[in-house]
Amino acid sequence: MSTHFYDTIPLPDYEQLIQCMHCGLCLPTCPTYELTALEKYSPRGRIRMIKAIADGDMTITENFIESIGFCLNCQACVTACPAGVQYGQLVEAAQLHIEHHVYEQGKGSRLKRFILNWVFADLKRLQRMGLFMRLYQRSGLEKLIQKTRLLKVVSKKLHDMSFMAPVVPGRMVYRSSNHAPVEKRNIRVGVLTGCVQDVFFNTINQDTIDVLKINGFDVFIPKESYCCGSVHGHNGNLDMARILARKNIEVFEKAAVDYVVMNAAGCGAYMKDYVHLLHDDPEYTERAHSFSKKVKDFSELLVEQGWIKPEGIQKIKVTYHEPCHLVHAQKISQQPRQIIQSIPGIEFIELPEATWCCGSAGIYNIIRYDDSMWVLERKMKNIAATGAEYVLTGNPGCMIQLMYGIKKFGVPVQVVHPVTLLKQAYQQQRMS
Amino acid sequence: MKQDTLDRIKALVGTDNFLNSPEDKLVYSYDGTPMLAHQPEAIVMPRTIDEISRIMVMANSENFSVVPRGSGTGLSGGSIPTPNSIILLMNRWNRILEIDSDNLTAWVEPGVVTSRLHTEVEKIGLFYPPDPGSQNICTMGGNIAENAGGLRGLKYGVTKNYVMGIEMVLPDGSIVHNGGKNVKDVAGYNLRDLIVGSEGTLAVFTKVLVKLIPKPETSKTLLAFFNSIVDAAETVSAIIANHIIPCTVEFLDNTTIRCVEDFTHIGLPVTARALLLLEVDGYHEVVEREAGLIKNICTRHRATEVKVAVNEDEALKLKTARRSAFSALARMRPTTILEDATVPRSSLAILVEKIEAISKKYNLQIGNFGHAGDGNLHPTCLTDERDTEEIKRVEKAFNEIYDETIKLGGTITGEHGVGLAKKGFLEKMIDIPTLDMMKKIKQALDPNNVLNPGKIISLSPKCEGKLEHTPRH
Repeated sequence: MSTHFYDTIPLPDYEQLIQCMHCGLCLPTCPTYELTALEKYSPRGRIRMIKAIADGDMTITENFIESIGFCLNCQACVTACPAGVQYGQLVEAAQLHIEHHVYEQGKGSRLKRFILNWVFADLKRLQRMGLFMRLYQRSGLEKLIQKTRLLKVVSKKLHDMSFMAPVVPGRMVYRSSNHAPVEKRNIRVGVLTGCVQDVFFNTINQDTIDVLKINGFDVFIPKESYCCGSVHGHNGNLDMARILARKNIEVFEKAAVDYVVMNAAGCGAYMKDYVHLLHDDPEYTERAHSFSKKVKDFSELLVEQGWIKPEGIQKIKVTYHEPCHLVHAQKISQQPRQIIQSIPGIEFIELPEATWCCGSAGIYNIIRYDDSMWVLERKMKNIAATGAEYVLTGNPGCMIQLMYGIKKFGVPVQVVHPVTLLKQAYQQQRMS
Repeated sequence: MKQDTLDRIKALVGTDNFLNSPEDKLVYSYDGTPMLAHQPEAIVMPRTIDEISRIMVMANSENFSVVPRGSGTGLSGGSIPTPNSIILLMNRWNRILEIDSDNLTAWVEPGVVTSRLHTEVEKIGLFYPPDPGSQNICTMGGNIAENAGGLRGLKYGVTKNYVMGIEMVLPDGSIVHNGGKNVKDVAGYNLRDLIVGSEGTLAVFTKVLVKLIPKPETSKTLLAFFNSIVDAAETVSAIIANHIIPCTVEFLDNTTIRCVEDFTHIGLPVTARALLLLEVDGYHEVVEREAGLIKNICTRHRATEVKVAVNEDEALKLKTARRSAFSALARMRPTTILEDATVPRSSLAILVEKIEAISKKYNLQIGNFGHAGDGNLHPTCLTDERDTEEIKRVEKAFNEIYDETIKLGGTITGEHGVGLAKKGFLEKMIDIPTLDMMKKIKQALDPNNVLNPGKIISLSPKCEGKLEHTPRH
């Protein structure tokens, strides 16, 4: 697959830039502003710099690149903004222009390019990498390298980061589920099994399929799974993102589904925005629009359509971390809580700063490890303060990050996807 | 500014606490005020009161200005840099030094965010009432400089009513203390009251002692709709006449109601000419009684509908209309000009109708909302700063609005301050001897005019030309 970086990079929307009235209400919600108390690391400051470049008053400088690179793109500022500025679009356009600028200058993160060009280039390669990681883990080689701290020879950071990789499960073929529905609905749903979710957390995909089946939906599992394109789109390869978007639209169009159900916040948000991604493609404008309307987070769909209240008691203390791309990008906040709290026996404790980013932010935790760790530390402190046994969250990036936080900061908690908990409650009901 | 001077300042505060890259100067050129901006020469983050004192001494000898800044969210240009100035950034001074629950006081540094003080004192059953709209980001230093108000102003007063003590650095570098934990203290001139509302022109605050009160036991929220503004205004008067002082009485006009409904879809009656949001707080028995009385008063004054919240969730729903007013209006057009015209409560209805008439006259969209209980309105003009023709009409409209406000015995600013934005109006409102007294105070404390010069009043005589208007950068 040819990948032409930086073709047709969109300019930051000037109407958005001018909509900012620099009131500053975004500042207290911004993790990078909270860390530094510096205006240039706030959304308001970033918007002002982007506007200066758009006006021709400033060029892309090292300081500007650092400020934008430091941004997590968590979009907490979008939630807080009274004027409705779509900051996410602005910073993403800026990121692309910076990528282009840096690429032209022959500089730029080789690590980032490797991850995007090589690892995420196609799903099969990611799966192969997953297989390699599994062998690496099961053979005992990972444990050996970690115990002997071999990687410290290269760098302490690399040694620390090596603990980030979650345990890779064996490959599985998704079953259309042997769970009989309580009552059939006349609704057909497709499940995006994704890339990271498929390689690292395939059981979550199966849980999603099972939960939907139990709730009476007719579930379609695509044979070919494609990445939603967000990793590519957010990092300069819009061409690849568009190719993947079109593929996903075609797959689910052919399957004639009423909804496309997501269990990964980042992917759900990106797919709901396919209209924006493909707005230059007349053949796909209408198709992207009807597709995006069908994309629903699993919690969103269950609350909208009604779900069977489980009877299986789960006597556990849980808390909920809100993935940025669910609460800020999709405005889905109450639904996961409703689902979780419908499980009998649950003691639900609100997480302080629940809407704060965990620091995963795509591949931010790899390319900006230190900054990511500061953000994660704050999140782990908050989780520890709840005394919960489980922290629930609906995004694989967040799950990987929180699992790492448990190791790094020694917090006695386990990370679970809400759909897994719901499936467990249904399962328990069946068994009893 | 001379490079040598900048180098000396950098050496004083440390390289990490001195910023002057083009990007930094750009992002400290504005505050929350629309359309005004100017870049500083540098941004300086002092670590100690001694460093601030030395900077002020240098400012006098080396001839540069100093502009204090907290979060930079003010609405009248108080923290916008002036020509040849450095920004004195105080937002890292963010410690709550002491909460004294016996004496009901708290010592705070100027960079403490107001809502953080609220949270900390409420944990131990205490209360700091002033609640400006930007409370989640504005700082105590900024609040004292502007004498910030908020929704709870009618019942609880404003920042001035809560400042008991202060430590500050004067423009000549002297370090001054005034006040303390004594409930009563009349020793010497009341300097702490002088500097409240001085908009960063008389001193740089380094420590503030604020008064706290016990936290009210509970509260109740009501929402009432009216087909006439006069009915709503008379309702407010009647409530006060019945000796009920609600914690908040907020007003929304029809333009604002329609924008809010467009944005939130919560089912507001879009033909209502006025909406009142009321909240009473205190002991449970008092709250119940006052809420009941208020409901009757609203109905007697022809409210078309009165909703009373029975629990927290409902209260939150009712408050949504008022809370999202600013958001709803701000989304309509690119530029949102939030103004601040206050009259004695008895003239509120007249001012509201005058503002409506003026907005029609100049063919502008102005949403009017605000603190009906204390007469403090926020007429908000929805416009586009790129449309220079429309901006001219906006200026004319606000000129008239302020003229009418002054005629009604009101003030050009209830909360936001004069800063740069309202300098032109000050002379319309304040007579020459009074203005002279203000200038004398400024000149006595700051003979070289180094601290936030050109804010509130201009010391340069009129014959030197018109007052500076800072262009957009």
